[in-house]
Amino acid sequence: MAQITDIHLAEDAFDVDAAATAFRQAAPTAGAIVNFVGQVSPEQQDDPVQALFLDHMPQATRASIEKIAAAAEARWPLEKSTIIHRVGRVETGQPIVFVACAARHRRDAFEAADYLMDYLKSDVLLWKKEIRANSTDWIEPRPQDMTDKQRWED
Amino acid sequence: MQVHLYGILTDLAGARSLALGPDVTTGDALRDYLSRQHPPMAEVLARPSTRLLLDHETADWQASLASASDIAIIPMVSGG
Repeated sequence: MAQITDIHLAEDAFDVDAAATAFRQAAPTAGAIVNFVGQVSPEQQDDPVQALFLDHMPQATRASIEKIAAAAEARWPLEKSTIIHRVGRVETGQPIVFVACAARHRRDAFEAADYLMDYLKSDVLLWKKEIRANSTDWIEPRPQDMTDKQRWED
Repeated sequence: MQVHLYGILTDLAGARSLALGPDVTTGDALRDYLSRQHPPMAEVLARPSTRLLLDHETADWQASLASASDIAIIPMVSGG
């Protein structure tokens, strides 16, 4: 179980600037804070993604994020971390994920945030549908997502 | 008793949950029943990456459904 990571599944849009400020204020003794924001991209200009829909199982999805956070906490000496992940419909341009890691030294904060994102992209119990003007597609992890995760398994 | 569906299975079934059929007592029987009743689901149900969850834990398709209070079938996750 993650001990120092705040995890929030957000049904509605959230303010990343407010989240970043609150996180920094909650980690006053950290020497390094890394914030990552992922937002919905249109992907293709000729048939852009208008929104994503993220299906989830509230209890099990949260548990899958807890597992990833606990692994990061065991691997790096973090002082605090936060994961906010949207569920439901997320419009293009809106934030879909916010990850923040605070540590004494920058390398630990950078690496932990990178690790968390790699595993969030591949292992979390979420099902993502791309919504375009005339079509929808449920998507699966890209080969690159799996390759990114394997970097940490050596 | 209902089986809860996620991801692409919700679109293929046209519902987020479906009633268990009569005499459906195992995961395999459930998969066969749903494939017959909702043919668009059959291909995804047959994928090795599709999992049966009983009370939020992955279970063998041969498992009995009798003691489960929550039954779900999930396709491959897409991650965040």
